[in-house]
This record gives sequence, C-alpha cells and structure tokens, in this order.
Amino acid sequence: MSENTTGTTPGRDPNKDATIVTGSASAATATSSATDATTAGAADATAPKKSGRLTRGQLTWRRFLRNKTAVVGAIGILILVFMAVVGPHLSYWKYLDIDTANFLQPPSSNHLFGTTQAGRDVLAMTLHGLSRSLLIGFFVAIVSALIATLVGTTAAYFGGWVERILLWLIDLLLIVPFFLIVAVVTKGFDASGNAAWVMLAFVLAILGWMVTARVVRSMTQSLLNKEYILAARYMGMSSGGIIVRHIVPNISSLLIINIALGVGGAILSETGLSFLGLGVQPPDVSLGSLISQGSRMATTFPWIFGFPAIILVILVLCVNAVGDGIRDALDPTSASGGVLTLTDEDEDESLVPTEVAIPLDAEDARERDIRKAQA
Amino acid sequence: MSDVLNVRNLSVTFPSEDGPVRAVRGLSFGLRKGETMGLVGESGSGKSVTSLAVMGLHAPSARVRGSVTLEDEELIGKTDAEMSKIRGKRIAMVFQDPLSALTPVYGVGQQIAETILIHNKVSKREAWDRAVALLDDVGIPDAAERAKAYPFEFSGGMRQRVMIAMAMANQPDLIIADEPTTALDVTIQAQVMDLLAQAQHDTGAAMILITHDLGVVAGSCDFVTVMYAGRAVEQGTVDEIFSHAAMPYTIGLLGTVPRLDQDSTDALPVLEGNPPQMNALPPGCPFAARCPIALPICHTTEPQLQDVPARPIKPMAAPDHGYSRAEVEASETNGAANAPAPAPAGAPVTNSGDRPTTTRAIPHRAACHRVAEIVEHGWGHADIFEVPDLPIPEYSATPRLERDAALEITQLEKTFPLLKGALYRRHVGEVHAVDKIDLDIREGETLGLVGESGSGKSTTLLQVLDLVKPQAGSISVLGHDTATLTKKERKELRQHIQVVFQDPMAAVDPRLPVFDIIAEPMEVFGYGKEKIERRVMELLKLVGLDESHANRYPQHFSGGQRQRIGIARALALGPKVLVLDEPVSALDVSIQAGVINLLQELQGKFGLSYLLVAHDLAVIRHIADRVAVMYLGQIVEIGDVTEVYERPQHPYTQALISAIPIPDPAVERARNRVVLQGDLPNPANPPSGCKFRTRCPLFTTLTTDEQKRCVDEQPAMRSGGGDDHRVACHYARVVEVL
Repeated sequence: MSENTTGTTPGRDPNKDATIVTGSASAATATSSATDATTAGAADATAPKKSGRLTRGQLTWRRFLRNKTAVVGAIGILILVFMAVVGPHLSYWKYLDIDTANFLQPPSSNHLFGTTQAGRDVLAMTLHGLSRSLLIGFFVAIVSALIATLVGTTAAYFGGWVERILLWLIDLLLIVPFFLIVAVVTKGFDASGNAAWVMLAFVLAILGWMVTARVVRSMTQSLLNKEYILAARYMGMSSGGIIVRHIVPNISSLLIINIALGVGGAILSETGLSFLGLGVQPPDVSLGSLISQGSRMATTFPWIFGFPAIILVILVLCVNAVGDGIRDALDPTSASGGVLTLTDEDEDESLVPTEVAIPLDAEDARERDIRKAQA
Repeated sequence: MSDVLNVRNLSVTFPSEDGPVRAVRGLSFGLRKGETMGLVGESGSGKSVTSLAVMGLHAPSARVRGSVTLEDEELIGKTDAEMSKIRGKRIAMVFQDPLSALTPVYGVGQQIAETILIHNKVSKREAWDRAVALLDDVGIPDAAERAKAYPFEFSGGMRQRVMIAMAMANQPDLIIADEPTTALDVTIQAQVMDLLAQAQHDTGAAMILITHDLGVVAGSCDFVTVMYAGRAVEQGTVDEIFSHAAMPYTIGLLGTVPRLDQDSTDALPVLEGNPPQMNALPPGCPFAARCPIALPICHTTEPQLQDVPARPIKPMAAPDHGYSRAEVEASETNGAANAPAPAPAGAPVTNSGDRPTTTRAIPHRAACHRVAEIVEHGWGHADIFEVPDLPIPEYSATPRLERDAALEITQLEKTFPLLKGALYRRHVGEVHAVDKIDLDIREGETLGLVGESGSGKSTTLLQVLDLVKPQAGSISVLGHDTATLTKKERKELRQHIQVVFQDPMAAVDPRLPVFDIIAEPMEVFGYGKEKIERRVMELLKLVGLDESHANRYPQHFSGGQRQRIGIARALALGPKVLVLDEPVSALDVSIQAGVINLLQELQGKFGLSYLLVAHDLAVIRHIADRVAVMYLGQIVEIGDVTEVYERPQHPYTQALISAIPIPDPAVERARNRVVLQGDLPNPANPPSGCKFRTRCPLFTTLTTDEQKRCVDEQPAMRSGGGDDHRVACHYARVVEVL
C-alpha cells in the first residue's frame, strides 16, 4: 500500500493542483487521474499485507505457540513418536526376546528399564506398547471422526427419514453394553496375538463416534442456512458434492479438535481394557497390559510397573495438552491463548492530536473568535 | 446552559493479534439537554466504541484516554461498580437488536421494573406499576396484560418499544441509541424514531444517535459528527453538513446514496476503496487513499479538525450534480446570510422546518487540508468523485411488451401448513405466504419487489429458484414452464437463472479460494479446465476485481468485494435472469454505490433481467424499471417505478415511501407523511376482505358504508391510470409523499 501511494503521488505535481482554481471542469480532470491512482491503491489495500493481515493458518499457529503447555505437549508427542518408531530398531533387545540370564533384574546398562519375570526387556516392551497405544489412539480417533462426519452430515443434509433412521442408529449404539462387546470381540474371536489389537481398535472406533456425530449433525444444520449452500444448490450441484466441498471443510475445525482430544480418550480406553485383560492379548504387549503385569509387584519390583506408567501418563498429558491447545487456537473467543495487553510502546503519539479539538460548543467558539478578532 | 455530556479528546485502543487497534483517536463533542447528535460512519469507524467508552463498558484490556464528563462528573477512570450506578440511571442505552438485548427468561414488565428497583428505593409493587405506565407511554396496547408477556411474544418493533421504555425508566440525562432501527422494517423504523423523539422530549435527555442511515440523521438530529477511521472528520449542524459538507468523505457519503425522491438513470458517483485497517493506519489523512483530490501533504500529515471558512456569496461552480432546487435556494440564502459574518461559526442556522428544535449555532468543522478550496469553489460530489459511464443497452429502444418475457409468474400460491402438537402433529391451518400473485419480467428489465418482512418476497424468490411445480399457479422461466421440466431440463435451466444473496459474509464459502468459488458452477456443468481458467479471469475483471485476487480467500476481501465475488459466480454460466436478494443491504453506504453501478453496468452489457428484492426503496428506485409492492403475500400495487413513486395510489405504498427518510433535512421536514400504525397482522389469520384494512390510514377516513366494502370484498387489481400502473384498492387515490 505505501509503495503504491508513494509511487503515484510524485506524478501528481502540486503545481498542477494549484491550477485548479477555476471550478469544476478542471477539478474533474484532476479527479479522474487521481481516481485511477486510488482505485489501484484501494485494490492493494485489501491484499494480505506482508506485515498487516495474517492468514488464518498463521493466526492459529501463533495462538497455538502462545500456549506454552500445548507447545511442550507437542514436543513431548514428537519425542514419544520418535521413540516408538526408531527405538525398537536401536535397542538390542526386541520385545519378544527372552534373556535367560536376567530374570526380574532392576535397570542396568544391559537392560535400561530392567527385565520381567520371564526375562523380557522392559524398555523394548514399553516402546512396543507405546507404539501400539499410539497406533490405536490415532486410528480410533480418526476413524470414529470419519464415521461421525459421514453419519452426521448425511443425517442433517437429507433430513426426514434418513435423519430419523440414522439418529435411531446412534441412540441404539449409545446404549449397547460397551464392555460386553469388547470382551466378546477380543476374547471370543480367537483373535490371539497380533490380530487382537486391530480388532480392539475397530471396536473402539465403531463404538466411539456417536456423540461426535450428534454434534456434527447440529453444526451441519446451522450451515445449511448459509447462503453459499443455497447458491450451490441453485447452481445444480449434487448433494454429495455440497457435503464434501462446502460442509466438511467448514466443520473441519470441530473435527480436528475431536480427533486431537479423541486420541487421549482412545489411548486411555485401550490401556484400561488391556489392563483388565480385555484388550491387547499376549504375547503382544501394550502399555495397559504391561502396567497390569507390573501392578502385582509394583512395590517390590517397581520398574515393570513404573516405566510404562510414567510413559503413559506423559503421553496422555501431552496429547490432551495439544488437543486443548488446538481447540483454543481455533476458537477465536477463547482467552486461554493468553490475554493480550497493551504496552506503553503501543501508544503512538503521532496519531494523537496535539491540539485538543474544540467540542461542539458555541460559547467556546465565540470566545475564541472574539479573542482572535482582538488579536 | 452547560453541557450534559462533554467528551474531550477521547481515544480508545484495543490490543489485537496484529498490533494495537486505535479505534477512536481524539474525539471531542459536547451535548446539552434535549439535543441530539448523530454519529455517522462506516462499520469500524469507531461509533459504537465511542458509545461503549461513554458507558464505561470496555474490557479492561482496552485503553481509554481523554475525558468524558456527565454534568461535570468525570466518567473515565471510574470503577465498574461506580459506573453501574450511572448506567441505566443517568445514561441509558437502546441497542440495535432488541431480541438479544432483552433477557428471554423474564417478562418484559419485570425487566423494566428491575431497572427501576436497582436505582431507586421503591417497593416492587411501585416499580411494577411504573413499568406498566412506561409500557403504556411507549404505545404498547393493553400494557397491564402485556407487561407479563415474554420478549419472544413481541414483534421486533414492539421489543424496541420495550427497550425505549426501559431507557426512559429512570429519567436519564443521556440516551445512547446504537443503530436503533437497523434491524426493523421501514414502517416500524418510522414509528420507533418518532417514539425516540418522544422519549427524549419527555425525559429532556441529550441523545447520541449512532447510525449509518443518513436519512435517519437528517430527520432527527440537531448535530452530526462524521467519523472516519476513529476520528471525527466533520462536525456541524445537520443543515450545514447536509447542504454544505466540506470534507470529501462526507461529500462522497452524501453523494453516493441513491435518492428516493429523484429519478436517475445515471450511475452513482463512486467512493472507491475501503476504509483503512485500524491496526495499520497509513500516515497522513486516513481518507487520502480513497480521496480523488488528495495532495501530497494528505499522505504525510493528518489534518486537524478546523473551522470551515465562510462560503462565498455566490457559489462559483453551479452545483450541477443533482441537488434539488430547494437545496440550491437554501444554499444561496444561507450563503448570503453568512457572508457578512466574520466566521460562519457564529452564524445563525436557518430552520425552515416545523420541527421545534433548540438548535444552537455550533461551528462547522472539517478535517481536510483542502477545505478552503472546497468551500470556495462549492465543490459537490460530482466535482470530486468520478461518475462512471453506463453502457446504453441495445434493447432500450424496444418497448417492454415487445421484448421476450424472461420470467412469468401467474396466480402463484404457496402455503405453509401450521402444525400443532408435539407427538402427533395436527394440521390446524395454513399460512398463505404467497397468495395468487402475477408478475412478469421482460428481457433486460429489472423488477423490484418491496414490502415489510413477512410479506412473502423471499418466498416468491425461493419458489422461482426452486424451479419445481408450484402448489398452484405457474412459473415460467424463459418460456419453460417449471411444472413440466424433467430433472435434466431443470439442471439445464439453472444455467440461465442464478442468484445473488444478501449477506456477503455468508454467500461465499470462507474455506474456498476465490478461484474455486467462481469456478464452482462451471465445474458442476462440466466445463473444461482451460475454459474455466479463462472464464474466471474474465469474470474477475468484469466485476472489478484483480486477476491476482484469484488465489486469495474470502476473508481477505471487504463486504463489497465479496459481493462482487458472489456476482461473478452468479454470472459464470452466462445467465439470462438474476435473482437479487437484498444485494446491497448488508454493505456500507460508501460501498453500496459501486455494487449498484456494477449491477446496472452488467445489465446493460448482457441484457440481464433482474428480480430484485430490497427493503431500501431508494435503491429500488435507482435500479428498477418497475416495482411491485407486496403485502401479506399479495401484490397491492405494481407499475413503472417513477409512476409508482411519484403517484402512489395504494395507502400501503404511500406509507412505505413516506417511512423512508430522505437524506436532506430541508426536504425531510417539509414532507407529507402517511404513517402506518401497528405491525403486520398474523399471517395465519389475515383480515377479511382487504388484508390491509386493519392498518390502513385511508380506511379510518371512510364512511361506514364505504368501509363495509373493504371488510367484505377483496380488492382486485385494476388500472391506476398511466401506461403501466396497477393497484388493488377500492378507493385508490394519488397521495404524493415525496
């Protein structure tokens, strides 16, 4: 903007303006040349300026960064994911390996987190359990958000019978006995070993989308009154097209928040179920089953219980901190991004008028005129 | 007499993500008992921030500097608890949206009584009685009963009356009315403005009227402060400002408003550009970037508010820019009266109207480096601002009846069922939203549809846009009867009829870049990639946007530019008919003109037919060729726009036109008024015979025999004289209201 005005003003010679004294005709010529300049200037004024306006992404990012807890959480998750992915390749012991020389040994240079009764390396098991928990957490959060979006938008968009049937399905799933189904699926289906965690993830996803779907539905209903949806309808766009192109992007912040907060919930469900023996089945390990194993001897051999428990707590704290951070960053009314305050540097003296403008007061003005006349 | 309210050098700064926002920068004014000052400006100019600063309602993070005194008591720096004793008692506020300003869970009488109880030592009984008396004062019928009712049981206008009663409750010294009529229909607006004046008269309070509607200011204010980018850029008496504005922004604002009382085929002068960002104000005059007569100094030094010098005895340049004759005369007499005085500051202001004003003389001040030149040459908006040329449409020579019909509606009906019961929904009646209307729009023609909310305008639009078989009657678009269309034909026809919506914020998807928004209809119709690319660039240029804007998101554009994006999208498929649903009502005054010009230019270029719904009758007069007035689902008057405006025959049309204030104090005061009483009746149970008779000002003047006909017989459309003018009233007669 400023380059623009400085670019055009030198062309407007002050002498030329001084010639506009004979009335409207010459004023009009000056006007037209000036208008071109202002048009160009105005077009630029609305452009996202380098220093001025921020894009939505930048703004969200800045608000997120201001939330220190969330930043720490994000760093924590990155470290944990790195450990879960790279750790097993670096460590000498694999989680199924049995070190027959070391049973129930406390942490040492050979086994950093110690070993279990069966001589398995607690570090390797914890890292494996961490990757299981992370996988299940993200998978469940994403899949249940997808189902929720599909059901919620469809129900709201089409209304009528479609909506009624889908709402009925939601209500039905909400009253289904959760534990029973998980028990049947993970134990009953002879899903021994590695298949159990996949089954568990699916069950958690299938039973975890209903509340979100209801929220999605009501958000979609409010979007349906927006004129751009009407416009799309009146240009002949198909229903699916409208949902994918206009509705889903506009509820995406809700979905992102749901996914972020859902990861923590899913990890806790998984570990809880595994702890009770309903989730991940041996010989596979997850943080939950590991904690369960260790809890029996937590006081005497604390490393089997302690390390996975600490990792779990850190993971869940980090995930929730990030989820909260994303929610606050996306919600413009939230003040947890930090309340902005003005500093003295914000006071720009050049813009504050030096002379006090005289108010609408005749006496004042008359007095002043008299004084002027006297002078 | 001293000032009730004195604001000196008020400044308000907010923190924001993008740095401090200087929302108000050094505003000063004083107001005395019984005076009204209009605070005018575009959104974001600092009007509402000023009123909140006076009320002490800013968040603690905002920095408020300067001085606000109420009867010599300093308000800035008072704690919230101290301010609470003043708010509601000595300063009262009337808000824009009366629904959200009233608590939905308490009855209105209780809410008024509450304001009395907080500030006075009275019993509950006394407070209640006083609340009922106040409701009665503000014209709520059957006040004792209605005081027990909840806000949702009142119409918008009635709720605003309740708000005014609440404001009056403690005999305040100052009433702040923040856009009090913006959310209301024009007929209700007139009632509310009258009531506000009454309330002010009864309480003797000073009033600040915040509004963007220059007509409202002309009709009800003594003084005007025009704000731009947080500063007062012009201050003066209402007559001075409206007839001799001296700051280019004010001149532009006044010039770009279409006039209800003037026929015009020309384009409106355009105030280019947008107000500056308040967090990144350029140095110099904030208006310089939009000002066609800006000098280099304007970009470096911000002008202070200064006295406007005396006008020369005879305006040197004849005001050839459409000022009415009355105004020219007024300017001459004023000029003559002012000439001998050393400064116009002390000059008496002529009060030609019958309004009993206490207008004292105040200095006319403007913040502009070139104010002396502007006054000396008497520059008006046509001298300063560019008036674009409109193309002359090819078909303009062909009489309308010889042109092809773009849209024909015959005996269209649409009813909505009224259902009752929670478990089993019983059908208890129906609402005739649209009741047997006939319309036709020819090629290249614009038909304006006006009426209060609830009159069936929007239902008519949606019926047309749905392109399905109507409940009764028929709709024919470009010769295709919508009742007989197959699914494929209907999609094909959609190319030819497109829509532009009211709200530029809601009309474009905020998540899509502009390119995708405009390309959308072409993608739906399977255009090739290259063709879309070419066409989008073409459309952007056509609506006055830059090709480089294609990759930006709607949030980077102002309201006016978003509306242009919406128009580009509607034009993408090369339609023949555009349905415009309040296309400019959500835009700031200075932005409106550009969009109106664009619509007219496009119509001339492509021979488009417009079906235009607007509540602003001035806009309709400017754009439309013909106008149809709707009341409770029926058309009561239809015809050529000049004919209908100049010689309205239906009492409803007369009332609608006279309810719109004209932005010219002299004309406004001298107008003949037809005032409408009450609200729209319940559409589920409309009156027998003529639906309008319950509110008809003519009906009350008829003899009993004549009235009987209105009660028993529904008036049919008949010719109202003139070539193209039809009216549905038994006793239609011309009443000129302009």
